[in-house]
Amino acid sequence: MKDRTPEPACLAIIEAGVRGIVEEQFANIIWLSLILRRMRLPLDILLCRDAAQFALIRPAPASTLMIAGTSVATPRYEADIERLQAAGARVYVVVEDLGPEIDAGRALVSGVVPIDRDAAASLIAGARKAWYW
Amino acid sequence: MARRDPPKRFFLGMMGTPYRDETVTTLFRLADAAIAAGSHVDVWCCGGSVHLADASLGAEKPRDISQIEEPSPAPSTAALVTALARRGAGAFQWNICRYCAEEHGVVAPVPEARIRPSLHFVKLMSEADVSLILGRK
Repeated sequence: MKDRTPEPACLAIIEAGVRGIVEEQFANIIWLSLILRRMRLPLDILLCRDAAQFALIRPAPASTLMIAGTSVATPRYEADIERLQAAGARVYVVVEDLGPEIDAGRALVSGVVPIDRDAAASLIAGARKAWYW
Repeated sequence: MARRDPPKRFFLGMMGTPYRDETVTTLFRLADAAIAAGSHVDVWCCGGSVHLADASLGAEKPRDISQIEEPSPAPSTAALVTALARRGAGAFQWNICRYCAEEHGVVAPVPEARIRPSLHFVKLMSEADVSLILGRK
């Protein structure tokens, strides 16, 4: 039986970095992309500008955020990107936005594809639909 | 050098739109730290921030459907307002601008939050030793 899932054709561009930790907590934009992907939306991700940092391996787990003795769930971008890839999405990052001190070959979450700005333009142009979060 | 006493009254105006950046996180952390230092804290919400204390948000965010077997505890912003009020024990008040509440359709905030006349903004700010406005309306 043929797989009825269409080829990934949509591209979600994530540009804004850390935002809304208290408001969103686990439900950050990478998480939402994972949920949409699991709902069989053909979706790839392009991380750029401040959000390029989401693609980096963290040296240590995010510290716990406590407010008035209440634990707040902090985003798990790295784990969510890995789960997003496991769900079939491709994750790209604009390498110029990582900063010159970052070695993309060693610093990125496994499977994330570093591309330059010119390639990002081609990626957007080739997508069936592309949008900003 | 003698250590300075913390200000007695803080006024924190929250004008920023939630979800856009980290301003709301900063607000909660500042309020928590000021309460811990023994200060009285008044928070004033205008614009989209009037919904942070909505009772309809419940105590927790909707369940993490990606991790049903091991959900993360994720308190709502309304629950955090309640937690701050409990920690403040009378020295913390979450205030919501009446005009903004009507404009944004706020009908039922948690009991620890009060909808106040808009002019109360000036009164509370004038009474404070330190006033800080976060974000833009």
